[in-house]
Amino acid sequence: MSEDNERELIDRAQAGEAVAFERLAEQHAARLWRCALALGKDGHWAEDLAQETLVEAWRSLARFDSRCKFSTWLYGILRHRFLKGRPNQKAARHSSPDALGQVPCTAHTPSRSAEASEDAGRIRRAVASLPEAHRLVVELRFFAGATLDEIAAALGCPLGTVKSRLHHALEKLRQMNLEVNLFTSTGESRDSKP
Amino acid sequence: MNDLRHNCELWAEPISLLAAGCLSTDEERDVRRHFETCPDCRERFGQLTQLCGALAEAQLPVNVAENAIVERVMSAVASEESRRPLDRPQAEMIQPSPLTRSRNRWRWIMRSPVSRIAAVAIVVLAVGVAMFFQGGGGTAFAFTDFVAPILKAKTTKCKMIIETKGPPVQTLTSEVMTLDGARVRQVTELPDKSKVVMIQDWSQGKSLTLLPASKTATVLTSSSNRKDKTPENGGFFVFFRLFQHVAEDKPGIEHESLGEKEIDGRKVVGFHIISQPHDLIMWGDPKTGLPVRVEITSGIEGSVKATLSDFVFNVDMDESLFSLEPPAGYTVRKGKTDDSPKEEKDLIEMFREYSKLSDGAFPDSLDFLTTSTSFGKKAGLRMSIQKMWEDLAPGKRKPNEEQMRKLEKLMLKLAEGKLNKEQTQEIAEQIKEYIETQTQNTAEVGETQETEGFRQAQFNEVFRRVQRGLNFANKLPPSADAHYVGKGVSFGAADTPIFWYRPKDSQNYRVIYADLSVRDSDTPPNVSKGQPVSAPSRPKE
Repeated sequence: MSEDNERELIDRAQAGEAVAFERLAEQHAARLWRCALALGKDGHWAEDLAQETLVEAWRSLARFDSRCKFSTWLYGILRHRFLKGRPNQKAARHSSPDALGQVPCTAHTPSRSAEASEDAGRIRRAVASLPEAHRLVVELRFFAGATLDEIAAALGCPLGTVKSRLHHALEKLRQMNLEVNLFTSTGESRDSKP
Repeated sequence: MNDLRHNCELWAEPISLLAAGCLSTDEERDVRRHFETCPDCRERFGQLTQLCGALAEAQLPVNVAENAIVERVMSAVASEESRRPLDRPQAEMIQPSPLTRSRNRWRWIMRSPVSRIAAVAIVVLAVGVAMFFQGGGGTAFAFTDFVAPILKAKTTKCKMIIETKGPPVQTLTSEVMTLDGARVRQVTELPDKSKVVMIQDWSQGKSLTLLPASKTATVLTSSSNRKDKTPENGGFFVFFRLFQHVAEDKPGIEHESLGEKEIDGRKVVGFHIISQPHDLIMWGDPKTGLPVRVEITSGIEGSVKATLSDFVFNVDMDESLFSLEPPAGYTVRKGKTDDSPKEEKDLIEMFREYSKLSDGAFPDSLDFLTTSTSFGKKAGLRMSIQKMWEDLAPGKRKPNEEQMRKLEKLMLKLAEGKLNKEQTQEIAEQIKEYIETQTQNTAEVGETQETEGFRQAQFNEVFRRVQRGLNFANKLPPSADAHYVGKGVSFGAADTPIFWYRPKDSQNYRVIYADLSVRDSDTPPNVSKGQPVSAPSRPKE
């Protein structure tokens, strides 16, 4: 969706047009869900958080003033709902298995699904082993597709911090990969396989 | 990022961010310039790029979650919208997408299974109850004082609530404005929270009905030459007639005082005017001499009740509110009110249409209001089911009779409004599952061409036929010795009479049988429990 299209949808939604808001929700729901999945415990909880975020966005739409991107604003709401609804989230998080590591990946085609699933599983486990602050930025960037601004809004920290965390997280993963090959089938070598 | 070729540490973070796709074009250019002179950073970048590609591929598919989230969000949004005040102008302008329309319809059906089209008809019909009020009056008393302001006011504004008994129970609220005693504007909130605006000017014999949600306007002009062009079901204006009857204080009306009580903190006195099967209760403020609340109950066992309250008299009103010109952008339909004489064949058509909708059963009575309302609800329920079916199984064949009856039963459970949220959801799921099961292995028959306008025209035509038939029976004079015995009888038996009457100037009876054949007879059928069709349950001539 182009920025102009999104701007038009936002204007219409702010005027009370539910259909326009539905289009916006369709546009952002998946990324919000992934973001929630990175923050939370399981898929159902993440669905609830993404839903609460969008409903709250509808209620607060009049206050959106375009000073940031709409998606960044949504990530801010998501963080707010996350902190409000889950005061003991950190403890809960630590006591539960990693959400992303639990969910089976089905994005690949059957011909390479087994190998790709193995790679994906290894990568997600590697990410899960990172310190919390680093894990979050990686999951938000790569699993939720969030921009740096959106990650900053979701985590409530400065942009510079996000950049720094992402860099250090990637560097750790790179080192891990040099020690233990995480993705045997990634890149050109995998693509060239039948 | 100028000349930093020998300080690779400073390039480390930008390189990571570039691999992660987080740098602007200018920043990327600087980093790539550094690569030209630094093979180590170039190699690190290659490793990071491979890593980031693998991370991106490890992303989870989200189709199911995404759809479920949007569905639930929009359900919550609609639920909140339905609780917002109705004076939000843009709400009328929303043109829902097919998806939203489907969801809204689903929620709307759960709120009230009578379609908007049928609901509009019932609004018009229900306020016509006063037509059946048998005029007359006994003693001059304060009651007439409370009627006078309504009749004499330059302008009147009030709230009107129409309640109809089930199935399904239905309550509709309107804001009514009158001007010069001849022009009426009535805005009614329908079960799906949309509105219908009816503007009538019976000095011209003309009315305009607007449905802002679908932007349709219907202009009706009376074809009657009578001075009083008020049609038989002429909306709110018929109340004026009722009040005129009362104010004229003619003999024949039973009345009783109801004493005093408090309404909204005001002491009021009440009067009960009885003319079976129609009751009118009026509460007025003895200090101001103004009416406070009027309740009119009509139909068999009080099947329809209209309550008028919140009266305001002689306030300034913009005449444009009563304009009979359709607004720009509306699709306009024009027609004439049905003033042609009603005939026996109209009654037979009514029996046919009613029995088709009722598993063959004929109506319990020929009471105009009760039977019209009941028919309107049955037809509305079916229209709602058809729309729901088309939403859930687009392009599939229409439901057959058995499927329709199964769904009617489920919908009526919802309509009674006695279920809690979980039970309601459970029934809604049963309906959805039933339609999906019934249609999953059936062939596509193509998209339906039945627009809402088409359905409305279809409904109006059938409803008109039913009303004509009922009018014919109810307008027969006592000398016609008309009787109805169709209660409990189903369509089919050629030897079971359901209705008979003696036409004007005829010695023979016309007898209609359960197969809807008609035969002449010297004598009325020998049926002991005949239900006379006579005053007061028929319209005033």
